[in-house]
Amino acid sequence: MFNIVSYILFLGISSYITIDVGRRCFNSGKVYLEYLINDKGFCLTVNRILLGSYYLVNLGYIAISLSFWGRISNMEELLLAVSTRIGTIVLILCVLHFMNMATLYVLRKKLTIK
Amino acid sequence: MTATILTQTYNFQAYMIYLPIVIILTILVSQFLFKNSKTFMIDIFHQKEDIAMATNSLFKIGFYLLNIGFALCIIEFFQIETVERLVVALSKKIGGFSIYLGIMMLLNLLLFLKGRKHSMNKDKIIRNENTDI
Repeated sequence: MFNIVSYILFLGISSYITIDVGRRCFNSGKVYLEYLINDKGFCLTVNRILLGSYYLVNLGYIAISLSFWGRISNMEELLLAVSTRIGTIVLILCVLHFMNMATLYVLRKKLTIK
Repeated sequence: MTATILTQTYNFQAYMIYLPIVIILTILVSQFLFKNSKTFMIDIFHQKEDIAMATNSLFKIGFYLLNIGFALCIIEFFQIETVERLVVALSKKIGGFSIYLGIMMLLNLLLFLKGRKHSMNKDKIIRNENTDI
């Protein structure tokens, strides 16, 4: 019973966070790609493909991580399990995000701002 | 036999107090930081408004992800039996987290200052080249 509640909570919160972060990064990444690739239509296509693969990777990991789930018998364990799992997912997102930022930093010589 | 397992603990209350405090603290700190970092970003990107705002929001996302993820990962409390222990454990954890947040904020500020200095130097070099020609 508690297991089902925790699955629902975990799936809801973590997929909401993933989708929201993806949308925000999509919006601000558009500006960057416009400076990198001077072609609006092509840049939108690249950005959309990046967004799609990001969703696939993260939602897939979220779905897989449901299988490593212990037995939950009371409210306290539920809160503990759900928040540690969400924390791990958020930290993974954070590592991916900082890798993206590092790539942009490497590519900054090619940015067309003088 | 079940009576021995079901001893009264305050862990649930501790989680319920810890979670909102930590999340509200992170949101307040990052709003404060990234409201003030807009001027830095505009300086770094040579008055280009759109890319400065985009970088600002990317940094904001990273800051939120890092801090909320860390806060959720360190949530686990040991067995808390008395109210006194509850207060001590909570203040230890929240104090540690706010020191960590302060260090993160300072690191961000140093990063912005370094970027600003770099772009100012580049501006100066470009201006000198133009006057020489």
